[in-house]
This record gives sequence, structure tokens and C-alpha cells, in this order.
Amino acid sequence: MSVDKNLKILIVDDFATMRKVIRNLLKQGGFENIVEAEDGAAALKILKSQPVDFIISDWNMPNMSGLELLKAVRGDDELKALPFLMVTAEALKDNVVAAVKAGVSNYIVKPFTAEVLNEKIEKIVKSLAA
Amino acid sequence: MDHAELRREIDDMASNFLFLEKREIDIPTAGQFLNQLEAVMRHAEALGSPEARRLAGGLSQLLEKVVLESVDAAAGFGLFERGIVLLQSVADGYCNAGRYDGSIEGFMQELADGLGIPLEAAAGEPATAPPGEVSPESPAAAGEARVQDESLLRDFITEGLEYIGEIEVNILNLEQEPENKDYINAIFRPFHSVKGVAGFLNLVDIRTLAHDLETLLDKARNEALPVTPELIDLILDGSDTLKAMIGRLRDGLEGREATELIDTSDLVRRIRLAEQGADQPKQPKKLGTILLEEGVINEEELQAALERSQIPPPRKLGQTLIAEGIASPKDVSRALRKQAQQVTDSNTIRVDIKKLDDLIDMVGELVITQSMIRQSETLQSLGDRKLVRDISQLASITSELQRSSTVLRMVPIKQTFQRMSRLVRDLSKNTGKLVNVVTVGEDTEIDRNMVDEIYNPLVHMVRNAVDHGMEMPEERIRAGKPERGTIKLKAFHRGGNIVIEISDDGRGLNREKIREKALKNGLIGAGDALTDQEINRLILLPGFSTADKITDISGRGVGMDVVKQAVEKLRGKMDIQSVEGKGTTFVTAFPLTMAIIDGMIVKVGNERYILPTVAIRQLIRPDRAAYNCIVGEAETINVMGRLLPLVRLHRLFDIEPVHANPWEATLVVMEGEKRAKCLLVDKILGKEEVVIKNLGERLKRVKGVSGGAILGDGNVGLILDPEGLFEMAEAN
Repeated sequence: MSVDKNLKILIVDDFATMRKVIRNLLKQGGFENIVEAEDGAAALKILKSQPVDFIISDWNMPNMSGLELLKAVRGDDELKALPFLMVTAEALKDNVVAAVKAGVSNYIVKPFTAEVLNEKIEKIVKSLAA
Repeated sequence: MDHAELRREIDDMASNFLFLEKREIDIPTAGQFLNQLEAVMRHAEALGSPEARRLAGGLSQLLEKVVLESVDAAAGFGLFERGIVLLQSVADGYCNAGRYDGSIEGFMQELADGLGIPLEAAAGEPATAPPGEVSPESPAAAGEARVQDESLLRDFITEGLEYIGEIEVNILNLEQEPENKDYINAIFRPFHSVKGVAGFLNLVDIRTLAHDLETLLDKARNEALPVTPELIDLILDGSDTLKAMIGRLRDGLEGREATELIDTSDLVRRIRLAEQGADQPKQPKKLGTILLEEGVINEEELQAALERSQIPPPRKLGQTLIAEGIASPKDVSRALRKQAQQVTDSNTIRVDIKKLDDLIDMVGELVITQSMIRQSETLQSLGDRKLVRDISQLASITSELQRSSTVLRMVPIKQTFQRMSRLVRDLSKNTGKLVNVVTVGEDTEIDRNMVDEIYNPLVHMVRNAVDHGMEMPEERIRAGKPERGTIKLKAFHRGGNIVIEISDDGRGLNREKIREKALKNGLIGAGDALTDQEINRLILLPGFSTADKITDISGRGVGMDVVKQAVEKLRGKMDIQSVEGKGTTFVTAFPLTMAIIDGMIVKVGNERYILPTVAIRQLIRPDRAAYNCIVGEAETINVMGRLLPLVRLHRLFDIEPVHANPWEATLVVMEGEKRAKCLLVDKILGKEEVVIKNLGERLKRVKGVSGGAILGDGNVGLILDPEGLFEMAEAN
């Protein structure tokens, strides 16, 4: 089975260029239904106001970090089942383990290609469907 | 929690594992297991089941490796399965017999061998993995990341430069509060973001440098590296270089001629050295390292010289270098001095400024208390000579303590000078002027609390010197001066003040032009005979600006009057010396500390007040004839031909004076921000340096009083604020 390309994806990153990079990579994979937020706090606002199917979030952000966002999402009854892909700069072991313990769906290390991103999304979505 | 519950916990895990869909542990499942294993470890530790704790620890590490993909997933799955089963039998053993008779060593060994997980000693600490980068991304991934889209590149340039600009703001904050993690984070983040996008855009150089700087900051954040001025300089230089690299990118994109390739090797070497500093903070740097850092010798020369120094008869490295003419004796001795300084540096400790402030405040309290004891009449009536002697001993110790605690807060002016030098560099770059900075007396000390206060006025003077004082290179050559101008920053102590001079060798003040302008603005009359010095000082008057055009640098007509006011607010004084065609010097003198004030003590009735000496112009005992009082108008005194309003201090503070008539009393002519008035007091008691005490929140808003102080005789006096007094008088 293939992943529904109409998936509504929320990109969370404080660096606008980075959001654009990810958006471009997603487009290459056929995903066009995208919303953006500049930090965890802004992301939560969006999540509360509109249905989102998938979150791709950076780790290091002002106001509310990716880990804090993840914990907030997992702690919210309505949002807790949402797929959450964490973007990290290095596979810093402590960071990754902390995210995994907090219930991240998967993580991806910068820089990555459209193929790797696609793969991760498919893997997450399929395991949920199973 | 007992062993049966622990077993249930483990059984839960086992059944979760059993019901896995595929023979694969995905990330969310690994997350669940990690949390469960953490609970098992904690409970096993509490219940005293070392085997269960070690097994759970080993399995956690295994899962971490699975998550990080640093172990084969299938092999990991198999090991995990066996581990869970073993964990169950350990729990069973403890549950039924209070102990486990089997051995887990074989399995632990297997874990260690197969995964490169170090075998945890039987009595070891709970397994915590060393932090660090586990799987550096493969170079292939970086190479494939081709998102070379021009619009992305443009976005990156704009946003990247903006982000790096924020670093400078935050670094100034960090300089003031090196312990503040928020500031480090705020500096860390731009590097991190730039690095991330640079990776996607295949900008290898930018990515590498940003990564190095980020690593450095990460160490500072984890307290592996102290935040020193050197580190801050390094970060600033790093951000400058990044800016230049991104600027070069923009030039290329806009089709402008490519500027020279930016050489980062020196910077990278400094970053490496700084990082090593993190690993061995106690070791003073070797002579060779210092010489390397200073660029006196290169790596090969050092290695060769080190080897030759070993050849008998062995000589010191410095001797070899001098003998072979590789380094000059001056370089070597300077490096040796620097090395010696490091040793003394390790004898210093960092103290939070707040603690120091508290200490100094408490010492102030101590001084007050001891003087109250000394003044106590009961005590004096005892006539105990030993007690009197002891108390006077206490007094001298306390005042010594006060003196030495005030010194604690003194810091060299060096850092301020460095920031100013940097500013000059940036400004000269923007204006196309060529300027060198020379500093003298960097070690001159000043109260830490004054440093921030004096910075703004000094910055304005430096800007002024570059903008108005310095000529363009062509103009300098025409005037027969060296193309490159010099700005000298000089500091020294004089009396209780720190004097800071900012001199340039620029065009000097054009007194003709200043005169004309002052005449036009009505600041002086046509017939006024002014000395050169008086003309110079005209530029300090409000509303005076001789710049022909408004530039970014000195701002829009914000004149020297603002600087003068800022200096005076700090109880400082300011002067200008200038020779046309040769240059201008701004001389400012600030008190070393805001904690001590030079005061004139006056008496009104039974009360004593302290007047800041800087605000006093003169003391007079007027004639009867100098006093004018027109009914319904204010009282005035004729002071050398000018009528100044009379302010009766006793009336403002509702005191019964000894002398109510000005011609019997003493008058103090005081200067406020824009006007002068005569203060009527009974008597002048003398001049004294007093320690300022805050009056606390409650009395902070009392007009006319800026603080309190303990006088030499132990009495308390209020320090008066001339401007506030004037306002009170005007309101009456």
C-alpha cells in the first residue's frame, strides 16, 4: 500500500529557510498539503485549531523546543496518537533517546534527502495502519 | 513495591514483546520498552536485585543502539528476546527464593561482545551511556542532499545574516552574565540553524565552521568550558567570518566579482585550541603552544626545535628558539610572561556578582553598626579603657574590611576597550576610513557596576572620533599624514577618578566653523571673546552639531550634549582638547565607583547633609546688599553680577535654622543640569569621601535625597541631589 499523499503535514522550525527546504523535499515526494509553525508554541496553536495528520519538528527552537512540543502532544488526549517525526542535527544519543522515551514516532538526521524523508514517513504511517 | 510486583512489571514487558506484529522493534515500541526498563532498573535497585538491575541496564543500552541503528536490527531483536526471558527467570528466582541461583554473566558477556557495550561491573554504577555523537551522518547523505535552488539560497543568505546578527546582541548580554544558560542558548541556536540549512544547500565550508562554533558553545553550555573573554572573542570572530562567507555567497549570486576566498584555518586552529582547553583546564599552556597561537612560529618549526632541545646538553625550548634565530628574545619573553600569568590565573575564582554586591552591602551595614556602638553614650559612660581600645580596634578593622571589599568589585577596563576597538574596526570598515586602535592602560581598574554605565557615552565619543574626526585616506595623504589614522584609548587613575582619553589624529576641531554655528544658533554673542578651550566646549551645548551631513554612525543630530549629560549623571567630568589638523582628544573622568562620593558636609540646624562636590561651583558669604527680595517674587542673590535664586534648605526640610538671614549664613552655589542656584546653609563642616548607602525601597522616591552615608564621626547624613532640590524649590 502507498501513503496517502493528501496527508496534512505540519512543519515546525524556527528557521524559515529550513521550513522551505523541508517543504521542497516533501513536494518531491508528492506531499503538497503542508502547514508551518515557527516554534513549538505556535505549532500547538495550529494543532488545536485545525486537523493535522503528521508533525515534522526541529529539536532546537526558542520558546518551546521540539521535545517540549512532543511531550505536550503526547500528553494531550486529542493529539497523543499523532505521528511525530523529530529532525535532529546529529544523531546525538542523549537527544534521540530522550525523544524516543517521550514517544517520538521516528527521527531523522540533517541533512537528509527526499528519499530518506519519504521512507521515514511511510514507515511511520504504515506501522500505524497495521 | 515487592519482588512479586517487579515480576509482574517484567511479565508485562514480556507479553508486550510477545505480541509484536513483526520481528522488529520500531521506535515507538523501543520508547515504551525504554521507559519500562527504566522503571525495572529503579525498582530492582530498591529491592536489592543486582542481576535484574544489570540486565535491565544492558537491555536499555541494547535498545538505544537499535534506535540509533548502530546494531543490526535482527541480531538486536534476538538478543532482546533472550534478555527478556532471562530477566523473567531472575525475577522468578527473587520472588520465590529471594535470590537468583543461575548466572547472567554469560548473557552480559554476549551483550558486551556483540554490541561493543562495555560489560558493567557487578557492583558498578547504574548503566548510563556516555553522551556523545554516536553515528555521524554518512558523507554520502551530505553529498546527495542537493536542493540547489536559487531562491532557497537567497532566503538562506537573508535569514542567515539576520540570525548571525542576533548573536552579537546576545553575546553582549553573555559577557555581563557568563553563567546565564539562556544567553548561551540564544547564541547557540543561530549557529545551529545556519549549520542545518547549509548542510542541505551543500555549503560545506559554512556548515563546517558553524558546526565547530556550535560544538564550542555546547561545551560552554555543559560547563566543560568556562565563558571567558577569549571564548567570547573567538565566537565573535567566528560569527564575523560566517557573515563574510555568506556575504561572499551573495556577491557570487549577484554576479559581483568574487572576493578572495576566506581562509578559516586560523580560526579553526583557535577553536581547536579552545576545545583542548576544555579537556585540560588546569594545565597551563606550554611555551610552544603560546608561540604557536601568537603566530611567532609554525608547527614544523616547533617540532624541530623541540627535538633539538632534547639533544644533550638539553636546553629549554625558548633558548633553542632564540639561539637558532627562529623567535626573537622579545617574543619568547612575552610568551613566558603570558605563561606565568596563566599560572596566576588558576589562582583566581569566579564569583557571582550578586554575591559580591551582597557582601559589600553587608560590610556597609557592619560599618554602620560598629559606628553606632562606638557612639553609644552608655558605653562611653562606662569608662572602661580596654573596651574603648577594643572598640577602636574594631573600627579600624571594619574600615579596612570596607576598603578591601570595595576593591573586590574592581575590574580592569580592558574588556570595555576591546569592545570599543571592535567598534572602531566595524565603523572604519563601513566608512572606508583606515583606522588603527592603540590602547594604553588596559589594566586600570574600575568598579564592575560602573563598567556598563560608562560604556554608552564612551561609544558615542568613539563614533564621533571615527565619523567626524578621522579623514578619508585620500584626504590624509593630501595633508601629508599617514594614510592610516590612529585612535588611542587611554585609561589611568587620577585622584579618586578613572580618566579615559579618546584621541584621534584626525582633522581636529574647526574652531571658525564652531564659532559661526554657535553665533547663528545664538549660543554666543558676536562680541564675545572666547578662548580656544571655551570654543571647544561649545560643541557640548544642547542643539549643537557641525556635521555637514547626517550619517548612520553618529546618528541623527544626537549631539555631544547628550554624552555630556550622561557623563555628568555618573558624576563624571568631560573636556575636549583639539589642535586643528592634528587631532582631537576627549577627556572624561569618572569616579572609580558609584559606591563612594566626594562630599561637602554642611550643617543646617542640628542636621547634617552631604552635597556632592562635583555639583558645587563656589561657596560665598554674601553682603547684605547682594540679597534681593521683591515681594511676591523669589529671593535672589547677586553672585558676581548674576542673580541666582536662593534656596532655603531649612525651609525645604522644615528645620529651625541658626541663621535665617543670607548675609549671616553661608551660601553654596550649586549647579543642576541646566541652571545654578544658591543653597542657604548654616555652616560648612568639611569635605569627606563617604560611602553611599541606599535608603531602601521605601525612601527611594523622596525628592531631593539620593542616599545616605555614615560620616567620619559615626553620624548618619543624607546625601542631597541638587536637581531634586531645585525642583522642590521651584514647586514651592
